[in-house]
Amino acid sequence: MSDFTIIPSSLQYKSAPTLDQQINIPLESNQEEMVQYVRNTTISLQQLYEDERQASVRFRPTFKIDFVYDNTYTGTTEYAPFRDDLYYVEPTQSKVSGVWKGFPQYYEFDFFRPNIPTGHLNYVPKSAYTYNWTYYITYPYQNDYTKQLQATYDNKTINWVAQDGIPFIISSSVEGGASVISFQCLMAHGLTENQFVELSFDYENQRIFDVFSLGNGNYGSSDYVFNIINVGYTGNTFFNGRTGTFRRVVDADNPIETRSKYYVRQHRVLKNQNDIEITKTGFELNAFQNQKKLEFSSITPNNVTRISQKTSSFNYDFTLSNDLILSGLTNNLKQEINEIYLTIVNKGFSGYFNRPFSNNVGLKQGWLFNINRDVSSWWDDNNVLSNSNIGVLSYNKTTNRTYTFYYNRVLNEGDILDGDFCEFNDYYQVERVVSPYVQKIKFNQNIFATVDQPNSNPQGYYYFPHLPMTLKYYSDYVETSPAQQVENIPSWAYFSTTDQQFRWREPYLYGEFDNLNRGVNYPYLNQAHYPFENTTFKLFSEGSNYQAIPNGVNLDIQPLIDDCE
Amino acid sequence: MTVNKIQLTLPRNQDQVIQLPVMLNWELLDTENEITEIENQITAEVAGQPIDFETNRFSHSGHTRPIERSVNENPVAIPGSSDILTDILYEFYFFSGGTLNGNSSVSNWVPDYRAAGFNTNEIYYFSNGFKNSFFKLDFYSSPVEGNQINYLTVILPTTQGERMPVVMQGTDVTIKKPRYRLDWVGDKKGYFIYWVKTRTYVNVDTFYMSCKFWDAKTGTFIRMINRPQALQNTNTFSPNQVFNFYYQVRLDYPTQTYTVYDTISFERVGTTVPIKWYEYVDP
Repeated sequence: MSDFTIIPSSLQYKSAPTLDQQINIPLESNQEEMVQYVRNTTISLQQLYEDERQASVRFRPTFKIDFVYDNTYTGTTEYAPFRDDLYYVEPTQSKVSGVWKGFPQYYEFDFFRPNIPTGHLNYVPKSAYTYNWTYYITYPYQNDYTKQLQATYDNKTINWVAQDGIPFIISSSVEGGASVISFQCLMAHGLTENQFVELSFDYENQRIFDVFSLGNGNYGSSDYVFNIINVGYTGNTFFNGRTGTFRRVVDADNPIETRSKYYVRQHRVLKNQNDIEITKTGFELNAFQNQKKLEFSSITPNNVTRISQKTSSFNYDFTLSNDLILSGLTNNLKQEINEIYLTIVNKGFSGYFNRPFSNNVGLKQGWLFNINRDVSSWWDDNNVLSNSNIGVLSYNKTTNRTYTFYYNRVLNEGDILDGDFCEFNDYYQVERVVSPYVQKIKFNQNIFATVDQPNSNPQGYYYFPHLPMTLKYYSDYVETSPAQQVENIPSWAYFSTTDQQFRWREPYLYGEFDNLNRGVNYPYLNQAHYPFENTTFKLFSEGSNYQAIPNGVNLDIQPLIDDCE
Repeated sequence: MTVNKIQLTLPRNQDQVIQLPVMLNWELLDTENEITEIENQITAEVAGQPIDFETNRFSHSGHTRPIERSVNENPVAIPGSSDILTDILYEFYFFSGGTLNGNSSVSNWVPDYRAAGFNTNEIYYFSNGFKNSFFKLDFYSSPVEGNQINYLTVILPTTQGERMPVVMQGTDVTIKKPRYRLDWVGDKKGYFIYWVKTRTYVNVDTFYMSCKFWDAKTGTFIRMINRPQALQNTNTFSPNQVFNFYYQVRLDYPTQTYTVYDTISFERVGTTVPIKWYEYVDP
């Protein structure tokens, strides 16, 4: 406000006349001529290239996949096109008995299916790579906090909901003379000493406990076992064999904000097989030999001599026929998309697998913790919780009788499928994969019988469908900004009411690496990034991978490579 | 009540005006960024816009073939049924000698490498002269020689292609035949056309495909045309430069496929109807 006072003319002095008055408003204008050098600029092509690169959201990714599998289950079939095409075991005995037993040929598993005139398929060359598997480019899209999960350990089955955290079984123990309560987790707990756990039950209204130590002396157990010190807890709160769940708390003084969230990540399909081009790599094979043999005509059911092949060792390139444009998309954490996935799902068009269990679903799903040494009940045909959301289609063939063959349908862009079981901490802005997502295929016992007595929980093959490619890394430090300063704060920043601060991690620039050597430097040309990922896709037989889980690491075994190496 | 002491007197035959100062403080919003943006645009224009030279793989567009069944060992089409096929079919005919003109001379062009001067042994044993020979398909922007640009070339090696039965030194064997059925699997060299993804730099959706045969045995090129010279109405040695030396290849960018058309009949070829190339015999 100015201090001007307007005095009416009649009051300016005694007997002053009344006059019109006016107030002049000065309109001031300040302008400045731009000097010559301000208008000049030096064009730096390097800077221009760098600006374009950082701003580009166009990607042309390439995955090189080494497909590793073993063809392990023998079976029998009456369907003549399959029976005449097996990799026979004991063919001389089969010749006598008339029951031909063997392995399916390698091309029932491989990405590429050659044109083998067995009389079963009307072969379409364009579909050579999509008979057995389907391929998608996906990204983590949202979180499912209410996913019903189940795990089995020591004949104990624990059911819980994803958001409850990580399940455990309690046992008492002694460590260094101190009495401790030991929590055997069914998956890697991710804790460090002196962090805290919030249990699903309380001891005299206390739910948060300090982690005293990790492990129980067995090899690798520190990832799966944590201990709290037994200060003399009375009652039977921590009785041996009690099961429950915990959530990690980093700071006991700030338990709400530093408590982790647990969920199942869900992937959204960005591109399906129509946009993905697959080729065999020019000259590369994996390290495993192909198993081949000659089937003599005299010991085959159709008296035809042929070469039989059980396994293959091809590597494959996956590229996109159309560009991947990632503008306007955010991931499950509402951040810029920093990872995409090549998602490989069994299709099994020839019909060896995927007989539907219920709801027209023939493909099972679970997580690594569901793979045990023996077949877990999770995978039972009658357990609808382990059904995937991918339905089957079918077709019939008639030889001596009518057979129905099932295969998994192809997902469309925008479809959702489940992913890894994850943990996210708002305060520290970091996501951890607790247990990776697994799919399981089982032989259709009506077509190819691998067991004498059919049951609802047969053995099968597992695989991890989601193969990640990192497009950007987020910083290893947490950026903070006071509440009053909202400029340049990303939309995914977390506001801590305790600290009155925004907290987030910043994506690194392309070509930027931190002191942990985290960063990406993919080629940029043709207005697009060309990210590349060289990875392995494995198909596990039942029971071949159980050492990756608690049942395995607690075995009294000598690791092939221990931590010292 | 807040009032001031300004008195308004009644006007004496003239209007009164109260002028109120209205204070306006304003400035251009985000001027600096706007200037920077314009600077960037101008800089990008001066430096040149980036061009996308990335190529895509164009495959032969699908076509249908009736599904047949055998009736008394003769194939009979099943009404209303068809296969979706993606193969492309080429046939190359070499002049085996004899007369050049007249309808009856058409049979003097045969799909057989032996008519090109190779003997059965050379073909069977893949002699250097044979295996280093190839068909060269050139893709031009126009059929008019004066203003055409050769944008790309596809090579079909003699080591690809179908086989035919012959007798060699009293033994039944099969040798290569200049008939190519290219597809996604099997013989696929020359099946895909690799062409730029975007049409901003070169906007071409129709090519004119010509053919030459490189004879590595003699070190000469043999020009091929799409009709046997015997069918030339006027002069055997005067094929039409626009219509007789080319097939039309049309690209479909959204589906990344191509189709081939006859330049005279405009009918699609390369399906169950082969793309035929005949040796052009110089006078």
